Amino acid sequence: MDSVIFLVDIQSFYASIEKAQNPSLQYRPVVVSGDPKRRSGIILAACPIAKSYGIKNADTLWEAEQKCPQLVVIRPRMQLYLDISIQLTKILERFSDQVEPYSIDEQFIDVGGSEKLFGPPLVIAQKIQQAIWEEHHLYARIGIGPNKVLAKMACDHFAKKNKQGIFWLTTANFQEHLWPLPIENMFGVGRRMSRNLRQMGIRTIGGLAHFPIELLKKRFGINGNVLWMTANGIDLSPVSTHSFDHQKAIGHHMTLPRDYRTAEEIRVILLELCEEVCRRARTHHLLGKTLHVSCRGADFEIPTGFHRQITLADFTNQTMVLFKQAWQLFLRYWNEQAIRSLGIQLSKLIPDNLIQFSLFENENKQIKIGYVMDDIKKRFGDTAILRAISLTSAGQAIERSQKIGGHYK
Amino acid sequence: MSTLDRKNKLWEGSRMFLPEHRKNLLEHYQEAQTFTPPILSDEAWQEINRLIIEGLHDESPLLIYYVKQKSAQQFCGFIEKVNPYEHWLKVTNGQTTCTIHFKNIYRVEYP
Repeated sequence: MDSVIFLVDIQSFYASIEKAQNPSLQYRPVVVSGDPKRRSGIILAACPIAKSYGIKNADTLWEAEQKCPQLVVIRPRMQLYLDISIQLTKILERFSDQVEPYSIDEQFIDVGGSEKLFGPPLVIAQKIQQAIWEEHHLYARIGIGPNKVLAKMACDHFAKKNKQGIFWLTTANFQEHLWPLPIENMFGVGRRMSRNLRQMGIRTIGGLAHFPIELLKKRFGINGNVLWMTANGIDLSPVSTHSFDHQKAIGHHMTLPRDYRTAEEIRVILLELCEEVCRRARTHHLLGKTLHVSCRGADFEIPTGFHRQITLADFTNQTMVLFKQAWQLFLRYWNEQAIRSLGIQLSKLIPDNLIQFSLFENENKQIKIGYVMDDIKKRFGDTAILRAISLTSAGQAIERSQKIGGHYK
Repeated sequence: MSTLDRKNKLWEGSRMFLPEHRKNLLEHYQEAQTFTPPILSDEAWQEINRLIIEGLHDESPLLIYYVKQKSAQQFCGFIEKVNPYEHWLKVTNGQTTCTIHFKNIYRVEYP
């Protein structure tokens, strides 16, 4: 018997929460937007009424207000959205213990085995919709499938567009519904991949499903195999409740409030990012050996930037050790043009009780300083102790301490 | 074979999670594993009381179920001491000794 997996997605998550919290907004066009004075001043979520004016996510606030002058603009409250996301996980866990959050507003749930308690899959889906509506006044759309990839596509392309907000793709009907769709609609196909596939003459999901897999593997490697499987509705991934148990990498990325042009300015941000990454590594008692640095150029017309990685000589979670390597790596690949975003990632992680001490340097003190700084920040707040460089005009540490994911808490 | 079993890589590799969200989820999972002991009736308390007195008197071993740091624990041993004023008892098993507060006990039986 086929598994029954749901992908539960909340309509206009941030905007719907704001409307649910303030009923006077119910019939008004509402958007949640970042600070218009900064680059984060884009539409993060638009309610269906706002969308009817042509407003889309990621529009600038200025564009949105042009399209709809009576628009209600709300500042994001990220902590509230995170709290509600966890509460939604708890609601889903009443229907099955197999719940895997996929993003802040999307969660997979495997309801196989819950039928005797709650009824057939369509009834369970309705009960989930009802529970979420009654408790949070949020509208859930539910894609149902025999695996995660079909559940996701059932939700994105059908449940979001029909009246019930529920759609079931089965192994028997997915060819009829999914295969005629353009290749861009398939999960895992981005702009660049769709261009490649179209150049190969593949225009629909069905076209990809019938394409010889050997040719796809030869051209795209494992990804070609995965895409072929997706087109044929095959996905062996489990709904896993343990997918958050092991941290594989720790990274931070920052879209800068303005273009940063000089090495001195960029250096400040790089150091702050290294501090954040190392702090998280220390909190989780981890050390990392692979360092990734990525940056994006300021000019949208001529996209520039890079993503490079190096393996460090030793495992570390020391800010200055990581920073020295990151700075060297950045300078090696930076084209000396202005940048708009910068990111650091530390991977190949091991527990921090396996430190190899150097024979020649007194690292012990440096390691302790990091942990002491973390303790001070934990006790007195993120800005209780800062590097002096963060107080320069390029520094973002104080601003970032008030935010979650680049938006206000 | 054209079907690849990549475990959960397709989804773990494509998802975007804020560190704060991950932290909250892990706390939630931790909380879900918290053990809530049953609320005992007066009769159940009397039975626990009887078994402890019997164990102390007869020097017979007992299996004690109790709650420690929100998780369920068991200890099998001989009752060495009962302190009715401070509401705890001391159980020993060879070299190992365990002090258990009365309020944390939810079941006692012979092993």
